[in-house]
Amino acid sequence: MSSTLAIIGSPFIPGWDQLGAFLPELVLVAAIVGVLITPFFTERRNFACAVVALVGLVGAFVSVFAVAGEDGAYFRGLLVSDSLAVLWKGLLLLFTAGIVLMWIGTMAEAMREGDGPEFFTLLLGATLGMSLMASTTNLLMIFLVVELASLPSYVLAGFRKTHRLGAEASLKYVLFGAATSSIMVYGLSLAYGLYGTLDLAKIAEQMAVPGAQHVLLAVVLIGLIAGIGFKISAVPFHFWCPDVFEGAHVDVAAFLSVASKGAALVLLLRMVMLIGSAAGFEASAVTVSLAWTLGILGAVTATWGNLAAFAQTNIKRLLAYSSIAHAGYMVCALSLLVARRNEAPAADAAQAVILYLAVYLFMNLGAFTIAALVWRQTGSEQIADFSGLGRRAPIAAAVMTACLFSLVGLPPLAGFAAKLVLMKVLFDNGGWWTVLVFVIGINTVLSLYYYLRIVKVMYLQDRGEDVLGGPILPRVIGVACAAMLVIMLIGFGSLDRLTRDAGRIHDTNSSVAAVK
Amino acid sequence: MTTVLFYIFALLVACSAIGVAVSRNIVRTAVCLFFTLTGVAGLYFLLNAEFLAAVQLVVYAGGTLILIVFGVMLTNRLPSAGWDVKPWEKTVALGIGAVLASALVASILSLPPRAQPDESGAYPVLELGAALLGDYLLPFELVSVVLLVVMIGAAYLAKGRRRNREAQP
Repeated sequence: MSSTLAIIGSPFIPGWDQLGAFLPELVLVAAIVGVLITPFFTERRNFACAVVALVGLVGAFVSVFAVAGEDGAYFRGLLVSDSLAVLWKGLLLLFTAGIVLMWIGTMAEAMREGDGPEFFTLLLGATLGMSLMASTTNLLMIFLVVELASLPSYVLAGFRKTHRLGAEASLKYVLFGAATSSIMVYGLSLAYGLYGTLDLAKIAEQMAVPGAQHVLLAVVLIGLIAGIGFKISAVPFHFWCPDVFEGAHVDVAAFLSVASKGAALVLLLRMVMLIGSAAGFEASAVTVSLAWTLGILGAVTATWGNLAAFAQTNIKRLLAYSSIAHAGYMVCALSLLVARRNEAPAADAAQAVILYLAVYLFMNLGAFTIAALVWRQTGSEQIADFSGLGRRAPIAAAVMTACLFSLVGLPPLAGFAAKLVLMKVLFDNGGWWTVLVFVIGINTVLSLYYYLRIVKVMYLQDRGEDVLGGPILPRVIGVACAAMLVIMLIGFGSLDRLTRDAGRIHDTNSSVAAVK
Repeated sequence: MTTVLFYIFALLVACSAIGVAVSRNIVRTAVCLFFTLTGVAGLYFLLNAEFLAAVQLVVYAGGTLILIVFGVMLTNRLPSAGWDVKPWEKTVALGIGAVLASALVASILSLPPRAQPDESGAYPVLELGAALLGDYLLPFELVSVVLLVVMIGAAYLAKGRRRNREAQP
């Protein structure tokens, strides 16, 4: 009997201390269940589900604070909790709550009664995956949560079933996602075969041993970059992005623009950080080639996104290319995480990325909300139909202008500070990183043109259309976002302190034994 | 012996994998895929990974492939997908069936009268269960959420257009 028990090992019953670290995700799962049973109690199913989802998201957001400060590895090292994870979860949940509010304000009437439960289940499911993407270093978990984030997104992209473009976008998204995730899982399985462990921290440690770098390691890293690059929509894995944004509803496009890309960036940040710190931030074959790859990937992505944005006439396509460009800026900063002699530049770069994401969240939410408002009132997504918005809807036009200026990176808006910090971190390191600073600078000038074109259409063209009416809620969200952009610039110092620890990620190697 | 078997299985996998890629007929592709998957299962057997091999046969060669063929049969109305059985095919099929049946009967007859319990201490299924509820509890539970969400998404996409019916109560 005792031999049987020895074989069984120890089944794992997580205690409160373990579940505590999982609390935000638990609340999200509870919200999914809540959304699924809500339709049984009410006739207004869509609206009721939106409220339940909102309550769940706010509850999860609050519980993030309960997790804050309890750094460590949980669930036998499969889940890590540190300030990077906490910061991203806070941002993500806040943003998704904003998306739900935006849906109530603009999209609710466009959805058929009875589709709400499905919509919010998928939205919350994707959010769950994206939140977990920030807090794991286990290859199995990485694959699982990337899929959990992707699969609902495919359906969300094609949620307008009768819409031809939506169906096409969804199909493209699925095919592209399936291809890249199979490349990624191939890379992950090779990593497991090479090092015999699923824990990325241990793999990174073995990678750092001189002479232990197998040629196959290149395939592993390419696979990882393909899988995560698809989520970030880095060039050349970006083809799905404009089509999906155009085919999906504005709220889904907005959700994907920040949540999906941000989660992938945070995951990439954590992985690259682990590889860098295991190598002691010294230059080795792996770290140098990874840094170069990320730097080139970021520069190409930013330039490509900006150049392609020029020709766009559809506001969602334009914002899609703009989001590709912004992802490119952030990937540029990730190239600092490896191949520097000490930890400081890496930590600074991690912080710059988190700060950038925080600001990017509000400018994108604001811009998409106004696009959704215009769509609701005119049924159009063409930039030309923004004409005269300065007269027809002064508040909406002002909010849009603020968000666009912030996207360019002009003062007095937080986009300016975020971009400045990003460029400064790169510039401080000299070397070929200075080239990246120039690339970002040139791209900023390029982006000025297409962002300002929208402002020009709104204020300098007028086709004498009627005043744009519509509900008050989207305007409130928009004004709140624009206000946040100003507040964040004023309070950038305290924001800087808040995110100081972002770069100090938790290494499972150091504590897994203790937690067990 | 093992080496010879390995090369046979490897050749089977490689050739049929080429067939999967090259063939332009979806039914032929499916059949080639069947041989690929079976060959991989054979390789697993050679590696003493019986459980994995069984799963490979049941899930892939059995379930997934049947699903593909069903999908083709239900959706593809092209004449090329139809089967018109020729007499010589019947003969070959009967021959293979007879060989299979006799092999099965022979192997059953050759079994020892009573299977001996495995004393080696290796209970792969037991260990799998312990791992699922031990080290990998979190991913195990997470998969259930993934499946739930994906199922709801699939049901939504497959749901027929009820609008017409609802419009006229």
